Amino acid sequence: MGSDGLKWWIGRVAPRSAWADAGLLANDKDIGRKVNEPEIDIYYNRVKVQVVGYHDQIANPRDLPWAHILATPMLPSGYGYKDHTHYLEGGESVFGFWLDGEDEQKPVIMGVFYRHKKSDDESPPLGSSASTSTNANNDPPESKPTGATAGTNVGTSDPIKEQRYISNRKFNIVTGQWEGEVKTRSNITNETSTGKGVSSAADSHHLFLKRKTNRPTCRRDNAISEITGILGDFAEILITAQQYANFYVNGAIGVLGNLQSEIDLIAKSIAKIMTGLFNSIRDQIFIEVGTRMQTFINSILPEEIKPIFGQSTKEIMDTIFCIFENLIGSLLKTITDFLLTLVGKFVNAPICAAEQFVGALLSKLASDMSSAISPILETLSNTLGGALGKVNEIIGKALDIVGIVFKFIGCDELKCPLPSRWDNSFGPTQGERDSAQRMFSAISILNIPTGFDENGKPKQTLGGFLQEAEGNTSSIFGEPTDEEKQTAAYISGLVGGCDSQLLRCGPPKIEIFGGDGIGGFANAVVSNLGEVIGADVIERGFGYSPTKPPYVTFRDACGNGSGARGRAVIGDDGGIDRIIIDYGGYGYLNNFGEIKTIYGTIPGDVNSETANSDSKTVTGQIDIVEVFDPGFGYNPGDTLEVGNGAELTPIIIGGRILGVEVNKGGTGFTSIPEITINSETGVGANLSPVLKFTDVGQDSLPPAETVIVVNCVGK
Amino acid sequence: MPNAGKGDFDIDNRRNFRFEGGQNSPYGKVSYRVLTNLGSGHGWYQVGKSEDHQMVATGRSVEALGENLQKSKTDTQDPVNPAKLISAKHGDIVLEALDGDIILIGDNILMYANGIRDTGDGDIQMYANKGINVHATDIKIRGTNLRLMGIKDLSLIGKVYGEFTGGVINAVASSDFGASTLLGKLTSIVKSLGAF
Repeated sequence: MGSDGLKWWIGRVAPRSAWADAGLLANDKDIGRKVNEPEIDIYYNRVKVQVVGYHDQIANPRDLPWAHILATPMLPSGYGYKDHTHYLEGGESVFGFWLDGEDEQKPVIMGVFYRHKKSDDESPPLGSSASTSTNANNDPPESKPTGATAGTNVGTSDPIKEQRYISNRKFNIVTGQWEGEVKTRSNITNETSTGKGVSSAADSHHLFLKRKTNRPTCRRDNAISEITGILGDFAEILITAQQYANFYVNGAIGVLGNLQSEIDLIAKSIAKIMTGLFNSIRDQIFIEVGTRMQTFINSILPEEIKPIFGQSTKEIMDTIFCIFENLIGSLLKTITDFLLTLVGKFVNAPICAAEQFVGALLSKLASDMSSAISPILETLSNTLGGALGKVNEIIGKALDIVGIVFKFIGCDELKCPLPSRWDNSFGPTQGERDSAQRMFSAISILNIPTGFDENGKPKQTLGGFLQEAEGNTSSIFGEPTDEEKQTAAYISGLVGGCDSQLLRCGPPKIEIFGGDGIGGFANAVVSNLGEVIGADVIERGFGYSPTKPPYVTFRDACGNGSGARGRAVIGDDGGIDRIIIDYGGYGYLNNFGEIKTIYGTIPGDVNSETANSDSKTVTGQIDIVEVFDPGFGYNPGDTLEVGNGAELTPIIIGGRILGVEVNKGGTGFTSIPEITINSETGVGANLSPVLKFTDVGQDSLPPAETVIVVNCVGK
Repeated sequence: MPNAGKGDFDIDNRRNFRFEGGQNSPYGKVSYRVLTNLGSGHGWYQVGKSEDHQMVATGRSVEALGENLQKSKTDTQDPVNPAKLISAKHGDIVLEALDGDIILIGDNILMYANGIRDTGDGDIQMYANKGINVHATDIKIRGTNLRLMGIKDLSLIGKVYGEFTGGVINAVASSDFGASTLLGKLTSIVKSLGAF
């Protein structure tokens, strides 16, 4: 056999149910079903096959011949080592030869033709195991909502787009016909779901990794900073959450009913912070009352009754302590009610919004507190002939100087850095210390329109908000009225202030902070493929240290892009020389356009056009080349190629590339280029070019060699 | 689009899991990772010269260590012999439980804040929203300066024996401040020296 050549064939593996029960696979889903029956032979190396031109008329796949599978000697094959199995599922197009030559009865499979992951032909489904029909998904089609109009994104009211188009039809192996409708399919590692080449399993994985953490401060004066971040997380969840009838689904991971648990956790996080704030307020009230009473005792009371008076005072203070404990004990419910009221009413959480949020919470809680302890303090004050003064003054003063109590125990001597936050997807951000003045003055509550005036403009009233916060959640997730929809254009026209109702989607904003310096500003240079390829330093700043460079963070307001990381290189004069992009990320926009509002996403507006007009056309040149890995085995004669007129010379010492000299930076780079190393002996070097950008006229270079950089500083 | 123009990525699909390498992600370029259908997995992600390790377990992560590790200890000899070592050359170590407790249990629990003054480091700080409870047979607090303050109440009780000793003992009710001209003057002097 084979001495005069092999006879080849092309065919298709029969549906799984035609051979799986007689050829049990070692790592198969059927394992354990029949493995204990001794009369059953286990063939982990054969399947049934339908050879084109030979078995076309065989209707029942069980009548097809067995085909052996020729394995690679690079894998275990049962000789002295663990058996290895194939991964054929049924339906694959395969290629092989006839082991018995001209008799053509014993097919052998040599290889399988690859099937594109998105192909949707009429082949029998993978993974089929039923005897009469199969279901590729094994999910009841009715269990998942489908269709482009089946739901809405909670945060923006946008209709949910169909994300997956995978055949879920049933194949009847008896009739050889496909049955059923096209349905969607649950997460699986080998299918794409986002159109970005990312599997839905990876989408879930990325979402799970999206964690943040705050650094507490010793003053406990980071409430606003922390709550800003937490409200931002809340807005993010709302934007991705999807509503199907009465169900809410986390858009990325497809978990039903998770929204309430997310809200509970967020409410708990805020309640933790507010508990700390309330503790401070309570302490401050005790200090204030104590000071006034001491003055009274000192100036009026006879010595002999001071102990008795002191004991009575303690009992009153114990009562007030308990009242606070009860108020603190009800924080979680109050905050949960607040959050539920906010659902569908904000997509953005700037600091001012968090200040208003905390201000509103404190207003409400202070009102509760005042009504609970005022009668007690007033009685005490009256007893003392007005010695305590006005109770409202005490409460007001306590609110005003929240956090100051820590100074009494020497907090100033402790390390107490500014609040900061770490986001696993883009790194650290700097917070601000609380401003009690701003916190208490900004209680117009997130600019939420609780109604509309006669001119169609949103009215912003605290009273309306508080009324809703009392538990009126009927409007949650409600469809906006026609009147409200008409205000989307109005909302999109808002600039500055405390815009909690819209998010402008544009290029990532570079934040430079830390490192003792100040004043550094830069714009991100985003390629047309959505990757950050560099930074255009607008202001170098001063006072930075080369050994302690500032942090560089890329913030994308809408979360379109993610992942970009960079670091600043500081010159001898303390200014920023350049920003090196360690990872360009993906999905970023290079101009302003889309606007997300609580009423839905709108394509753009005059303000976006104005912002885009503040831009310049640049071209990339190689500034320096970083050596990530010097490799080994390189010779002095080895050369580097990168194209676009750039000329680079490797600095090779001891067979390793320790540096690269940039003779000519070239021009026209619009993405980070790859450097080719011409060497016959060297391996392993990893070189990463860093681009600098030169301002060029709009028409001086072909568009393919330029990038538009929109100025984002201060926007 | 991730991977646009990048052909050098690896994918190995299996029915229940998947290997990947070379793809873009929000956490860096994937050097290697393994994912399950439900999104659990772990891998290494390249960011510049560094590689981050990221791990997701949608349920628990349990490490059972030291089953056969020898740990010889006496009262005087207890050489360090870690069954688990987490050592960060640079960067913070953060343990965070958003909806649970952090529990440390051991024969001894030691904490050292070895920071230097140049960067303002060297503090052990503890804050609790409700209370801090320390209960032990022998509690010693020793500092160059020691301050105790109860915003509302202060109780120091020795059930069997109590003792206050100081170079100068000044025990007075705040309400008496200013009642004594001499004490008022002394207080002013101390305040001006910045002792409080």
